Amino acid sequence: MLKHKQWFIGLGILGLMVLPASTGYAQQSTLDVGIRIQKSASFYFENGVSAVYSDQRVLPDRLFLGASFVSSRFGSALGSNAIKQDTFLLSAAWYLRQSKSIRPFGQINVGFFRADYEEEVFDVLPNTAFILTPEIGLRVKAALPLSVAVSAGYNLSSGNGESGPGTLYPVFVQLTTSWRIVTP
Amino acid sequence: MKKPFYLLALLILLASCDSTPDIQDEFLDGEIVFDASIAHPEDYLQSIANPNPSAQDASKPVFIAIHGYSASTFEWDEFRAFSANRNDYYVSQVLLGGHGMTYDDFKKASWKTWQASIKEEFERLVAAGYSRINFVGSSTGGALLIEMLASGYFDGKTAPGHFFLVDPIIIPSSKILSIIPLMGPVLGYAEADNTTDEDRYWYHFRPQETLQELLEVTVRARKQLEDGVTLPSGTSMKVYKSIKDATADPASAVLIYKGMKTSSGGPIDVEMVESNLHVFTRLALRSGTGASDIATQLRTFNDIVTRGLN
Repeated sequence: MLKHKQWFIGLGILGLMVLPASTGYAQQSTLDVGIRIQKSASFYFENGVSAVYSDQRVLPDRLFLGASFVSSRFGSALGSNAIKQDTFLLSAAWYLRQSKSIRPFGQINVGFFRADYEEEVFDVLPNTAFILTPEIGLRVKAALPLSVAVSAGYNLSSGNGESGPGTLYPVFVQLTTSWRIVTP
Repeated sequence: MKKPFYLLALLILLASCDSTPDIQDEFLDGEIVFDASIAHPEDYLQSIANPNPSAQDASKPVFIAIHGYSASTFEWDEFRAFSANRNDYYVSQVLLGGHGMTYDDFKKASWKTWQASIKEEFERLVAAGYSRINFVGSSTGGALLIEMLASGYFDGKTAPGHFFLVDPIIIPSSKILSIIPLMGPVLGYAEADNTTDEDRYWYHFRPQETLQELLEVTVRARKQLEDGVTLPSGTSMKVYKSIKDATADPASAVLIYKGMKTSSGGPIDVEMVESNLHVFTRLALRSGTGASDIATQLRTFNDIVTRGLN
């Protein structure tokens, strides 16, 4: 069975294989849906799904609003004793280099984190947090309606032993492989 | 035009990365203050104090007490003092490898070096005939013991009776440690917020190399727990964890509870302790502690001894 890291690399290679880019979505509303693979520095893989939307009436192909859900249930906690923890995110992203195949972006995520400590004895510990994470990265458009986004982010509300969930780590990297749906 | 600016910035960055801290004589880091167990191991290690025990002595429980990262045997001195009038068990205080000496000695030691001292004392005690051995580990001492259990160190050896972990660290409270492979070479070392008295028993400066070792052993122990660790047959474990702890995140207890099982597949014991101290069993040289901290310390010592004698 492939390790998480190998999946991460494999999906990245898949994205690069479908280069070069196609362009031409600039004046249309778009929706990208995909799989998000996220790894906290020195901690868990938390994987899930992601969707980003750009409306043709509001800064099309530059402003993207999105939502994502990642969980260790689909990562490090899959078949192991790792803690099951879920993160729900809403995001706003600004993309540079319109119509180019490689596009830097900056993104702000807000959301909610919850870890499941399972046993009553751990009810004294904080296990939820509202989160705010700036994120920067690159999105590479593919020849097919595929794109790959790689970015790094920083959780501003990670646990410190005295407040906040201890399993919420600050620094993470993520890779999202998306399928673009163009809407009329 | 920008090149000179970048060059200047790089030079400033490199100049700020002085990896030689200003070590003072009164620090444990220096060449004057050493851990007392180095000069007088017979006062700290039961295997040295009595390497040829009678059958009766060898049947008494021994508590091997293990301190944490950057600390010294001082961390368990109060347990030794608590046990001073008891003749039904022994306390053996291990100094982790690379600790208790100079900054450079500390800098050179890996987590395997830290752990080697624990194994050496255990093996000396077993060779001498001591048959009822318990472990008491604080902070990183807990992570080192979990690693020993998970890596099969005790397979085929005399099974320890009990493991008592006080504020074990699996998840650091300061999440900066998670990026120390990136930041460490830039920082060179970290400076601890010790009191003047504590500087004689805890390193004032923590080389980034040792922080990387700390990260490595805690991540290793975490992954071992994720895979599942089983105690030897007849061995128990209890974790005592402060609910607020600026060094070892309390969530460490959750990971140990989920990952560690008895030989029959049962759960281990966990007590979440109403305290905001890291290694709440060490009160000496702390300011601001009160009657409830003393009561918690004594209750924990009594619980450890009561369980360890059974």
